[in-house]
Amino acid sequence: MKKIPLFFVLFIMTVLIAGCSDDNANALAVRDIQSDPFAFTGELRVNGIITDFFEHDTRIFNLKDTAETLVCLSLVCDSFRLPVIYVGGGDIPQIADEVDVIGQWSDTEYGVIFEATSFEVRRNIMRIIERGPNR
Amino acid sequence: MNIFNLVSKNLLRRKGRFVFTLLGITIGMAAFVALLSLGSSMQRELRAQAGMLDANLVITPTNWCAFDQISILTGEALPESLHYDVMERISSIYGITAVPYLTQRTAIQNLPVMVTGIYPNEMKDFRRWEIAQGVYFAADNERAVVLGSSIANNFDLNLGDVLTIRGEPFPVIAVLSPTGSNDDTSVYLPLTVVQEIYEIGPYISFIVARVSDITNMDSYIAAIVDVVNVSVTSDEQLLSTVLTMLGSVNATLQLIAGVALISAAFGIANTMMAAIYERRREIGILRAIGGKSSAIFKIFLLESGLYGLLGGIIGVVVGFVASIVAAPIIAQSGISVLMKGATPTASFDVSIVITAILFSIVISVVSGLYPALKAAKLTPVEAISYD
Amino acid sequence: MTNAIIKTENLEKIYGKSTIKTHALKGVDMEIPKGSFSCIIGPSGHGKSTLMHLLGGLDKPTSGSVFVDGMDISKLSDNKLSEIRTQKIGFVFQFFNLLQNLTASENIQTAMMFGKISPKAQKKKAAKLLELVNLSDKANAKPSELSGGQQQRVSIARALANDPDILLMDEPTGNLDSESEAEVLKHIFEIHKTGKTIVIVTHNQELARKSEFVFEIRDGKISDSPFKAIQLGS
Repeated sequence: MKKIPLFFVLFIMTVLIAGCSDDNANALAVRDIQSDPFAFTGELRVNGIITDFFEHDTRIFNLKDTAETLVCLSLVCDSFRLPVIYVGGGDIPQIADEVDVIGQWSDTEYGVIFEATSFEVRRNIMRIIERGPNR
Repeated sequence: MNIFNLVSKNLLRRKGRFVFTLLGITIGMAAFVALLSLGSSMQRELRAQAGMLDANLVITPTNWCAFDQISILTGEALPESLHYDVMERISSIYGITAVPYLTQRTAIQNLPVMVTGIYPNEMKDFRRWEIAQGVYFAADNERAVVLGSSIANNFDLNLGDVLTIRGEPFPVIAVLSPTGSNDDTSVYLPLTVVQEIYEIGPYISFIVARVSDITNMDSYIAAIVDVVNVSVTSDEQLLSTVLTMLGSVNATLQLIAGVALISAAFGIANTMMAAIYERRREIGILRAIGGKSSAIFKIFLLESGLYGLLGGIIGVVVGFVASIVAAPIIAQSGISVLMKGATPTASFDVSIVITAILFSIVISVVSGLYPALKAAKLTPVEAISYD
Repeated sequence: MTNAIIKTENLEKIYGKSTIKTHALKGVDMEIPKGSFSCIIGPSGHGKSTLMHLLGGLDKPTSGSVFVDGMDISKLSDNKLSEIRTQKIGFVFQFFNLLQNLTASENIQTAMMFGKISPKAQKKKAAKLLELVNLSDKANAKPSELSGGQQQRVSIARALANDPDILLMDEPTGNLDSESEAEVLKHIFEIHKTGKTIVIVTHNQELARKSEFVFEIRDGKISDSPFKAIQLGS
C-alpha cells in the first residue's frame, strides 16, 4: 500500500489539532514527554500551560499540555502535570501563561525535576478559559 | 460563414484583450479546480485512513473529550484508563474479535515517538501485518521491540540496534512492512512489558474490535455497553467528526475560489460591455445586412460562453497540474520531523472536470447576459448613427 | 403608379423628447418605380438620411407608412423587418460598411448567412459577386488592406449577397476621390442594368442629372413631385 495517504492525512490532522492548540514546532509538548520523560536528554524546550505554583517554593510550578488544556478548557482537568523549577532570576510567569521553558532534567533537593534556566511567555489563556466552550 | 465562425473571429480580433479576459476566468477556474481536487483527495485519503483502522468499532473510556477521539485517528498517545477487565468482557461476546492498544511515548534521538503495547500475535493477525526484516515476537512477554516501517526509516534503525525506553534496553528484532497507515509510526512491545516499564498496572488505552456481522452493528454495540461502561464508536463516526472539520476548511477555501470566479465573471461582463460600446457600428452593419436582434443576442452570448468554455478547459488543466505540484509542498511543510513522506498525488476525478467546465460556462453566459441584451436592444439606426 | 416598389404616405419622423423636438420629416409622399434609378438630393441635415433609413426599415416612422413591394413595413415586428431587409433590400453606407476583422469574401458570406444560404454555397456565390465588381483577387483581403474605393465595391457586392430587388445607398461615393468614385458608379450602373431598383442619396449633381428620378428634400419635405430629369441650378 502506498505511504501516500498517511502523511497527507497526518498533516491535515496536525493542522486541525493545531487549530485547537498552538503547538510550537520546535518545542516538545508536555504530552510528548510525559510517558518517558528521562528518555529525553540534554537541553530541552518544553511548551505547556502553567496551572499552579507550589505553595512552599514559588520557583516551582506545574505545566500541563497546551492542546489538552485548550480542548478541555480548564486548568484543573484531570491530566498529567509536569513539575518545573525555575532557577533563572527576575520575573516569574503567571498562572494560565502558555510558556516555553528551556532547561534540562536535574537532580535537585526535590528529586529529579525539570530545571528551567529561562522561559518565554507566548500568551496568557485565562480569558479563553473564562469564556468557556462556545466554539 | 456560420455563427460559430463569426464568433470565434470576433473573439480573436483583439488578441490582447482576449488573452487577459481569458486569463481572468482561467485563473479563477484553476484555483477552484485545484481546491476541489485537493479537497476531494484529502477526503478520500481520510476515508482510506479510517478504513485503515480496518475495524468496525472503537471502544474508549466514557470520560474522553473530543481531543482524545480525534487522537485515535492521528495516532497520538492516549491516556490509559480502561481496565483490562473490559478487554476480557468484550472478547467474550460472541462474534467480536478485539485487540487492546496501550499507547505511550518515548524518545528516540530526543524526538517523541509512540510506543504501543499489544498482544503480539492477535495484533499481527488483526492488522494483517507483514514482516519486512527480522523475526517477530516469539513470546507474549518478550523484552524486545518491533518497529513500524517509518520509525525504522526515519531514525535509520536496523536489526540489533538497541532502544532505551524508560531506562531499559530493548533490541530491535523486527521491522514491519509499510502498511500505509498509522501502524507505520509506532514502536511495538508486548502489552505486559509496556504495563510493567511504564508502571501502569492492568490498564489499556482503548480497544479496537471487528464484528463478524456488520449489518448487526447496533446489537453488538448494545451488547458491549451492556456488559461494560464504555463509549463505543464505529470508525464511521470518528471519520465523520473529522470530515466535518475538514469540510469547513474545504468550504472556506472553495469560498475563496468562488470569489475569484465571480471577479472573473465581472471581468467577462466588463469586457463584453466595452466591446459592445466599441462595436456599435458593427452591430448596426449586422442588423442592416439582415441580422435579427435575436441573432445579435446569440452572437454576444456565444462570445461570453466561449470565454467560459475555453477558460474552463484551460483552467481545469492548470488547476489539476497545480494541485499535483502543490500537494507534496503542502504535505511536507509543517509535518513533525518524524515523517518524511512519499509524494501525495492529487486525484483526477472526471466529475470535477465536468462540474468545473459546466460551472465556467454557466458563469460566463450569465455574466454575458446583460451585455448581450443591451446589444440586441440597439435599433439598427441607433447603432449606425453612432459616430 | 402601379409598379411602385417603394411608396411612402405622409411619412413623418420626429426626434427628441417633450421640450426639444426635431421634426426631421414632415409628411413625405413619394413613389419609386420598380427597376428605376433614383437619387435623393438636398442640403445636409434636411432629412435625406432619415428618409433613407425609413425606406429601408432601419427605423420606424413617427407616423405615416412605408410600403415595400406592397407591404406596409412600418407596422412590422423587428424580426419580420429583418427578414424583409435580407430578402428585398441591400444597403450601402458612406463609410464603415464592412466588418473589419473579416475578409472581403467573409463579409459577403456573413450577409448570406443571415439570408440562410448554406455555408457550402456561400463561398462560391461570394466569389461570383466579387467578380462582378472586379475584385476577385481581393477575396481574402481585410478591409484595412483595401482602398476606399475597393471597400465600397466590396460593400456593393455584399449588398447584393441575397439578391435583393432594391439597393439603397447613402452617399456611397461621398468619401472617395474622383477616380474611385467613377469606378464605383460604373459598377452601380451595371447593376442597375440587371433590373435592380437603385436609390441613392447623394450630393453629386452629375449623378442626379444621369438618374431617371430625382427627389429633392428640403426642410423635411419633398420639394417637387418626381419627374424625368431636373435642371439643377447653382
